[in-house]
Amino acid sequence: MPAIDCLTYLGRWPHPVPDPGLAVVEKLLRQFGVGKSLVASSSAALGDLVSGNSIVADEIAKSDFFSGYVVMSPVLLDESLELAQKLLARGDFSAVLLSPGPQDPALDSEPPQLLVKSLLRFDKPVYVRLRDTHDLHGLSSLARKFSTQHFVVGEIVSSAWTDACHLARNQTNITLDCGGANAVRDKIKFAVDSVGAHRLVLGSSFPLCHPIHALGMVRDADIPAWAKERILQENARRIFKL
Amino acid sequence: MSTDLSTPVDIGQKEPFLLGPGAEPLVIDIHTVFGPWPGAMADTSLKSLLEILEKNQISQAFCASSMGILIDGEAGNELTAETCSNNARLLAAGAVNPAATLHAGEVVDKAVENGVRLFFLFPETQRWEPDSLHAAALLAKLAETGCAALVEASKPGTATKLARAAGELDMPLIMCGADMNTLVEALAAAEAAPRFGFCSHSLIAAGALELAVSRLGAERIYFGSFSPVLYCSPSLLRAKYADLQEREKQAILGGNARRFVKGD
Repeated sequence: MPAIDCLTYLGRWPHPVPDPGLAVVEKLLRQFGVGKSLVASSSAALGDLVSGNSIVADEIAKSDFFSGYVVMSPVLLDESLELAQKLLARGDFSAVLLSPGPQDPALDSEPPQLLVKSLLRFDKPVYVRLRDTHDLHGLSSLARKFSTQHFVVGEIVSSAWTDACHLARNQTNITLDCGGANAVRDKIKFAVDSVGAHRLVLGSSFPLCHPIHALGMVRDADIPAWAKERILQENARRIFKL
Repeated sequence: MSTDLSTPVDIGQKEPFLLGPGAEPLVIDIHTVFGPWPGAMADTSLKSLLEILEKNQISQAFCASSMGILIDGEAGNELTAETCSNNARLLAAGAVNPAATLHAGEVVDKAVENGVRLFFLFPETQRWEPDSLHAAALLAKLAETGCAALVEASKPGTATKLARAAGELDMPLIMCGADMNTLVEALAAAEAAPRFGFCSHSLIAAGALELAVSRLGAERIYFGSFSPVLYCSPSLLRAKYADLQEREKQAILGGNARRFVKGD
């Protein structure tokens, strides 16, 4: 079955490569065997919640290939909840993305707790972009406090990968995204052995990484084919209800 | 001819072995190591490296022992030379740490006597500045002996310092590690220093490899995987399926690295 890319971005990043637009992204992902992708707004992830999420809402309406993340910020609680009300009711938004900025409060502080508490009624997974290892501690507290909320954590740097696996092993409402820039071999086998293949998904973080970067890691991972299938699509289908 | 985006690619299928016009194997990995490596999550032994090269049909790989990079350049280079002499797939790369020895020049000489033509330099890991006096002496020595250097340059500022220290030397210098946060600086360094190039494994962002080719030319980009520390397929498939002309891909995958193979 075609793979599911759990995280791509629409829009520019402060990088020298232009945004190709969702139509080109879809064509590229299909070329590499991806049949569905969840997409978030890069500008929303960088702080412009309202217009960023709005652009994604308009764009994903044009293609069944994409499902959307509503990007939220704990420091913009009212705007975030308004967006949740408006967009999570749509069938083409499957999850929430939290992208804490460098100056934003710790994940276990009051603003993120208030935000997550408010999201419980929507019953959507929350993807957390990890800033650093401190975020793992904050996420651990958040996940323990809101044990019915499912979290997906991703863009985990190599130095935090072992700790992230240990966290997910002990906290069953956390799933790990084994994509991202970190290509240390064999982080995927390590995660399968310590957390379980059923607790892993794959996101490319396109355009921060080319999709073949993440797909290549799964290709090389020393794990059985059934585990790769779970990582490539079965788990995402279940977690994001695709 | 560019990659046809309408043709589905099954990355699970066996990749066709890239051959040159004379049926010469052309995939050369310019950046591999063997031996214990800090932070490694899998086996980084010689055996593991050879298995990866075989599995991915990489015909040759420049490699250096981790001992040479992390502990003792001279002893490590001897180990590398001995290892590579026993395996036609491996091409010895030298390692030297100018911050760890008063005799960096002699370490270079000895390695060159053993046929080394490419040196791996790790200023960020080994904690020396590329524009420091002892580094300048090392770079000049490498240029004098006709060698090339593959240099770790992932942090802001390193590429600039390299360009200032080595930009006017007659020596190919391949920067390794530039990501999207440092790509503009690294491109500027390479545009200021015509002998500079890029190792491909850090050009992971969508469009980054193609951007580097458009600015510098494919002849200055080299496929390198940093196996077995990193996964091989991300960088190998990235180059194979890049949105580039076939001749550009063949240059990146091995044609360029052949210039450093002894006797070529």
